[in-house]
Amino acid sequence: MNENRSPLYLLTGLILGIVAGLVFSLVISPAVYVDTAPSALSATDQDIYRSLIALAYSSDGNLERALQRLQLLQDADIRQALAEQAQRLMADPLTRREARALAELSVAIQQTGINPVVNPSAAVSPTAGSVTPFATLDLAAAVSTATPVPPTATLPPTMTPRPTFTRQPTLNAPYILVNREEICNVDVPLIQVWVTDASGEQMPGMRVDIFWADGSDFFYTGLYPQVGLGYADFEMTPEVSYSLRVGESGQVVEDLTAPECTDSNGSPYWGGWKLEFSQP
Amino acid sequence: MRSRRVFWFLVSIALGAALGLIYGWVIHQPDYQDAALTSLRKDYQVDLILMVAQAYQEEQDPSLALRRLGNLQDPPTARLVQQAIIDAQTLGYPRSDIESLAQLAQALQSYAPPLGSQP
Repeated sequence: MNENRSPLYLLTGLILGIVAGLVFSLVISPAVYVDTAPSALSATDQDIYRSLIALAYSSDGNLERALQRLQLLQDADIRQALAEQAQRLMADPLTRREARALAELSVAIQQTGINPVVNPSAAVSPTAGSVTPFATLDLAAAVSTATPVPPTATLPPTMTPRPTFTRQPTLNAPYILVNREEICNVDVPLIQVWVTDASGEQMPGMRVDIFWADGSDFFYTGLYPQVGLGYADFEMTPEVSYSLRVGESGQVVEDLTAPECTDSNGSPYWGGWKLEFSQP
Repeated sequence: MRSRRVFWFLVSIALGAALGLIYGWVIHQPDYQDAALTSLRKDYQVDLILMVAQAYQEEQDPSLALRRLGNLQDPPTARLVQQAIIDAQTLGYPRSDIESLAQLAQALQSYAPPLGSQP
């Protein structure tokens, strides 16, 4: 009689076990990646990592090392990633310094003519487990790419940084306005600033101070390398008058108010200004 | 007969638990592209702390350095940098890097109010 009993109890046990296993592995002790590479970081943490690379470069000027570090993130376009992040951070006054460092690094890479190639072998597959991260530190397994030491650097010769390629803005050089042009082919009322040196080379990293009746702000050239290394822009509030200066002792341009333009239908919209500065 | 049924019942629970664990730990893994800085391998973390130290060299702002180290440890402590110095030496970092780390560690130690209370 017993031999003919339904095996339903086995199914019950199986279901109970599955539920217990799922609760434990998904809720109580979920899998956590340990020993990951920078390329596996979330977008937010990659931004933090990229900012630190730029700040470290800003401090030591070691472009080769900065490139090695950036390659660990495996961005498809390293320069573009730097420039885009710089643009995002420029919006927040608290992160302007990081934005500038990112922009300067992007410009420095661009000026060397290096086209960094992502090395997939630099990626390290993480290991999933339910243990606390770093419980099994094995320094012997460390890779040299994360701990670059100059004598063992293996970048090709073309990646050797040329400090002279990085054009450094001269804070005391007077920049004067050489062209002031009203523009209507803009979606928002922008002040577009172009800065060149005496030889006509575009100047990245130039600070542009802007003032209005009850406030002031500043921004830097070079944050839009796709537009131009010496380019920067600022969005005006319509009917507010601005004054603008490039560098510490540059010429002050006053009375910059968004001009009123008219489209093909006769509808008015706000235009902008194109200002070109140069050293005499 | 009853003991045999109990035995197979327990076996089925164990089998189910194994299936559940395999699903949770192997099949349903967290997103590979969504790791946190705290999950970085130790040598990458050392390099990250070095970057914080290099930024500190220029900024000379311990609170800012602490905020950045907070991405690796919450709350961050000077001990984190001290451990990085040890690891950096083991990994063969150049002397200049060790000195950068040491200066940051020293600055954080003297930045007593928030750090002194840390274990």
